[in-house]
Amino acid sequence: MRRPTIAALLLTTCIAGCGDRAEVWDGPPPNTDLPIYGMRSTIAFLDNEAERVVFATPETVGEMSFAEVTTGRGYQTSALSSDRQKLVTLTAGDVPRRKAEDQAPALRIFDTAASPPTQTVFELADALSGLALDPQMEFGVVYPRGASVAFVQNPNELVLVRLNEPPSETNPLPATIRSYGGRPEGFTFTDELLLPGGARRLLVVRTDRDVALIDLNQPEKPEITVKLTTGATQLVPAGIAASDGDPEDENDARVAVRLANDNSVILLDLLPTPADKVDTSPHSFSPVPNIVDVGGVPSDITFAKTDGGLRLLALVPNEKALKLVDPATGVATSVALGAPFEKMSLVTNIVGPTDAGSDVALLWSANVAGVAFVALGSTIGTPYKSVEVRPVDFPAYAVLDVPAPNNHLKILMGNQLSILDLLSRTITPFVTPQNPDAFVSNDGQRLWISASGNDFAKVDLTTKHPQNYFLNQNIGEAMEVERADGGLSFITIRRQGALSLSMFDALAPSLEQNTEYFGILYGDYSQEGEQ
Amino acid sequence: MGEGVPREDLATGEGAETWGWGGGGLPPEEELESTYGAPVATGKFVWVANPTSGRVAYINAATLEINVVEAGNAPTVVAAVPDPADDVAIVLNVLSNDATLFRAKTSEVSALQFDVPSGGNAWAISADGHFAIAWTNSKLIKEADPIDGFQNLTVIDLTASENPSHVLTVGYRPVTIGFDAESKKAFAVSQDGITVIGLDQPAPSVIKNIKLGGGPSTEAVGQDVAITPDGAYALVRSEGSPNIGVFSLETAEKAEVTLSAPVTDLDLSPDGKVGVAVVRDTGETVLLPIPEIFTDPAGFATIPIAGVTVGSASLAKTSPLAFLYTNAVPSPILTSIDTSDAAKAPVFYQLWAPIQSVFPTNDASHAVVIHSTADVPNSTYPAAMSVLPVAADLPAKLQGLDGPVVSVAISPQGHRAIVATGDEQLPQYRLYVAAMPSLEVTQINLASEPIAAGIVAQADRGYVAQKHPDGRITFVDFKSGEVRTLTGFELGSQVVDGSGE
Amino acid sequence: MSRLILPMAIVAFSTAFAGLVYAQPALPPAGSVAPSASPPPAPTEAPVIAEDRDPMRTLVTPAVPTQAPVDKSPPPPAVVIAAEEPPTAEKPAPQPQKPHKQHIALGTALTASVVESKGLDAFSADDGLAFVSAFGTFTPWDTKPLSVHLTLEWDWTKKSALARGADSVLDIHRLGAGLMVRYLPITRMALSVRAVPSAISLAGRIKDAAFGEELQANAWTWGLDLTGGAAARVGAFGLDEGPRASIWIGLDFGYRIAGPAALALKPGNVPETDADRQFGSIPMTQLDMSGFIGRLNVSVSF
Repeated sequence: MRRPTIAALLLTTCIAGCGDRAEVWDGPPPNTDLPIYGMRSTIAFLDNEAERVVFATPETVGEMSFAEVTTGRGYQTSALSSDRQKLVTLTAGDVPRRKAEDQAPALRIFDTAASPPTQTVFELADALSGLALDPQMEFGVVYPRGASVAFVQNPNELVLVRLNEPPSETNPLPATIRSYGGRPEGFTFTDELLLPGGARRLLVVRTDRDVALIDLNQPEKPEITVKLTTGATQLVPAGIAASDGDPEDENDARVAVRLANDNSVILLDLLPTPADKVDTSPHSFSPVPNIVDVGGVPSDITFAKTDGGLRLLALVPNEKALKLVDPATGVATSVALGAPFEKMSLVTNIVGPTDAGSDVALLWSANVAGVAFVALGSTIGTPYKSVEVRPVDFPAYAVLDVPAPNNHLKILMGNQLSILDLLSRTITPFVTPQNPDAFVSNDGQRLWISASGNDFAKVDLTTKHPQNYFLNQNIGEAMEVERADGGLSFITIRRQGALSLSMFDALAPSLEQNTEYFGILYGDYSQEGEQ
Repeated sequence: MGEGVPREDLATGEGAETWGWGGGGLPPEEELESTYGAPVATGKFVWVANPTSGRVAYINAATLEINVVEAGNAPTVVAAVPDPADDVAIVLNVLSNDATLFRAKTSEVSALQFDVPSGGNAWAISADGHFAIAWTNSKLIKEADPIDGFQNLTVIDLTASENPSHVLTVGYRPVTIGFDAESKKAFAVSQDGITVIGLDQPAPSVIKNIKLGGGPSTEAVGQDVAITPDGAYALVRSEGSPNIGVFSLETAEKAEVTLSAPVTDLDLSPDGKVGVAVVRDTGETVLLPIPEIFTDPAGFATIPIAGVTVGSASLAKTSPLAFLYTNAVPSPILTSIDTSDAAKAPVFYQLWAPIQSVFPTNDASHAVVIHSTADVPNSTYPAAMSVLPVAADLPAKLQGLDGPVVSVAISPQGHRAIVATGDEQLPQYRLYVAAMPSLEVTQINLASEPIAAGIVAQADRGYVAQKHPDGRITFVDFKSGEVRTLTGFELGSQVVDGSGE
Repeated sequence: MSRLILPMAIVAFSTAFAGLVYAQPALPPAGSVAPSASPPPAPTEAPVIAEDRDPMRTLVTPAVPTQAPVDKSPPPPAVVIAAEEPPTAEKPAPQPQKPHKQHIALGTALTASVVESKGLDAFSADDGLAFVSAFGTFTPWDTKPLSVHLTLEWDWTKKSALARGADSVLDIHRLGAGLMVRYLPITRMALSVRAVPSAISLAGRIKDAAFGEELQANAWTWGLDLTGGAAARVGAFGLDEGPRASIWIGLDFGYRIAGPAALALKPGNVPETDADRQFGSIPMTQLDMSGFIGRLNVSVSF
């Protein structure tokens, strides 16, 4: 039957040519690269191919609700706020923009305090790829990083965004910092410093050869650039520390710049603008640089109170010493450590100051099987009395903080794991698989340990008792999230396929209550239903 | 401008120059750790040259603001130029054979270049700032060839708009250069005698040379020469000789004063009216009235100092008091005499360590005494100092020092003295600040070896320059006691704050 | 572009269908006598005649000879002239001898559907669905020009694609029961309109790498097909004296209204060892089967 056969063929051809689908379905999702954030009360999956953020929120012990918010095209980077309630993403939009309706680059803030999460969009003029967030979440800095997506790009262009204010003509605020050949590489937001002219916060911008100070009270003012290199060797700033000094004195705030390739630390004393420059300078303060030699390339710096007053602490692994530098005179006292410690953290707020009101520092290193306590209240004159070393079975590459009420504990992470008690100065070792992953719950009560298998453990930080559990699937990442019903859920995520997660009650994990979700990225969680 | 004494003079206590600041107290050339020379203070600025970068840093001692200006090739020696209105300093650029004059008016600094064909490593500046003489001090040159006489010097008329620089030839290896009070003459004391340079002519020129020795075979070395401020007379002491030659620089005539024994020290009062000669062997101090002594070589007054060995003298600037001591033998007794009244009995002060040198305040109300502790049994201090309240006639405050003394400076007001200590052998670098009249001594630790100390009177701050590749100087505020160290002078000039943008 | 394809296809098929219909010999109008020089060759098939002898019924579908006539006489007219039949209803038509009752029709069809719903994206790279259908119609009444038929249909299709890198399959079954109104302007042509509500079953499967087995999503929804079309009788068979069966080829176009189907993925085929595991479901984009449909069908009525 010729005619019906022809008709059937025509019909089939017609069907085959009908319509298409979104490109997101055509390829596998970037499982390993897909950003996933464990936020305070939800988990955020940045499904950038689908231009959305999927929020998975545990409602009850065994029930997860999902929601999604449309985000922009051209994902560049993202970051989580320190309180884990806000997620900030940076997108490039349509590059190049040919029509007015093409999507512009934007910075988006997703606030998960509300349900569903709200989104604030700050449109940007250019597609930039770097993002730095203020720990206090007042500011964000967008800057060019790595390869440019634009035809032409100014590597010294920054965009300062006031995160707590709505978008406006002056928010975000673009600025181009002076360049002497370098480009921004790192950003440090200081706490409020009492400076000549009033208290303010500073943004310290590190390039590969100088630092710039931006007054965050008035960011529209030109920045203050301190060129660090005077000789043939280019000095590379590697770290920043800031001190307000005496809170009542506006003339003793300082910023210290650690160099990556020099034995010196450059101190910037923030003094009043000289009288002969008051009329021409836009600033009420001026940095006066001072070079202090610490005897070796320092790995870490911070300011601390000692029995001799404020000192700049510089860890010099090559000399196995902690140098205490008087910022006023540049005189350095050396405290021998006996080992090349590389990292330090002040723990005074936990262990309490010394009798003289001085700080206590905790030192560790990925190359030293031990930690050290340095009581800075007995360092001037008797430096040998101030160091107490505690051996650990392994070098610690990281030290995790524990929130209150167990903030006197620190988790030492290496190829094993131990719990350090700062008050008793004891160390509780745990036998774990090699190189475990671990994180501490937000309430400081639990330590969760996993190691790329099906097992995980919960350690009660009060009793140090571990409970072991077995999952039905490999654990990729784990996180603890607050539930809508007031409880806490422990959630593991597996980066395979379209992603899957497994949820438990964090306080009483039970396989009977374990609920698993597979194929998260296949889901449609929009409020409108059919799109 | 405060006073300071170069390092070498502290070591010996003898042959101390009686001129004002003529040089920058350059460190020996083998000390390569610091590329910066010793600083020089003008009214409120401290000037420091960096031969490596070709720049001079000037620091406002009141605000501690650092600025840097370009000089010539290898600016090395800086000298302050007296000026009634501005802060003026001149730097010798040793590799480009020129000099740069900097004039700081409030916030602006202007620079003027002068040729220095003769080169040099030292400055002599006239009291009115009209003339600057660049010359070569052979003592600062290691292993100088005996054939090198360093006889060329350049006289610069700092006020001339045309041809300001003039190269003149003086005697073999000059040891000091000075001016008369009216800046009409300059004197170059060399091994050939005193070369008189006329400055009040269309062009500076050598007028005459006055030989100081007895004959052609007499060596002109080992002589202590003091020239009166009016440039009329020169008093010459020869080591081991009881004779003092008094030369008329106008006529070149000589009068010889013979004392009872070899003269161990000869000093001139700041007004040039009295010469003070110390005869250690006989325990006498002789006052030579000037100019009367020239016509009456025997018309001098002798003050016997009994019971105490004295061999050196140190005179106050604005007081007739002179302080007598010896450092040839350990002696802890300091004696003071009134040079305006020979009849007054000497006053003796008991100190507690052998005296090495004495630095009186301008008005002689106090004196800072540096002690040697080598002969103090059981002492672990490398050195010591005393602050002696002379006018109040109270006991001296003795302070042990953690290192050998490098530099001492006394404030013109006489209310502070600073002593910098420490060297490579004893690397405990300190700055001691003595307050007068309270006699309180504050110890400040320094980060690196001190080079020279000074006082910026207008800012009421003391400073000590230290060795550091990028330049280091510590300021002490005498009012508040605040100490601030600046390191990296040129770094301070690299701060760009958007002014004028 | 996709929106134009279906109308274009409609035009194309209509053109083809029109050619198909009008290529067949026409029935003579009622009462007319066909002029002929010689008796026409006897048809091997009797024409189907409605029993009630309505004059309107005189439209008779032409017989399709199963064998080519041997004689060399001029070919008979393409259309059997109805005038051969007595004008009165009592007189049966010479061919066929008995009226042909079209109570039941059974057929199969190929149905094309365009579903633009994004709910389909996970299972299909395009918006087209091609169903294989089976249907049947029934009318208790004798064949009349205008008749109402009960129709029962079953459609099935299967789509597969890659869903974000994983194999996905969607099985759709549709079971409908509705009404068809048919009008026969001539015996060889039928015009019809259909309204067929249906139940649609959707069964999606995605082989997720994380789970290892398939994730399944099943849902039911409703549909209502509203179509209009035409059919051409292309043949008939059966005993001369007994019921005749006719073969029809038809083409329908219309629109399917459907309710959204909420698909939610969940692991299926859970092995016994994992029977205690609890799984949550992942809601997918609702699949709305609404869209234009076109159906090419072949049926036999008798």
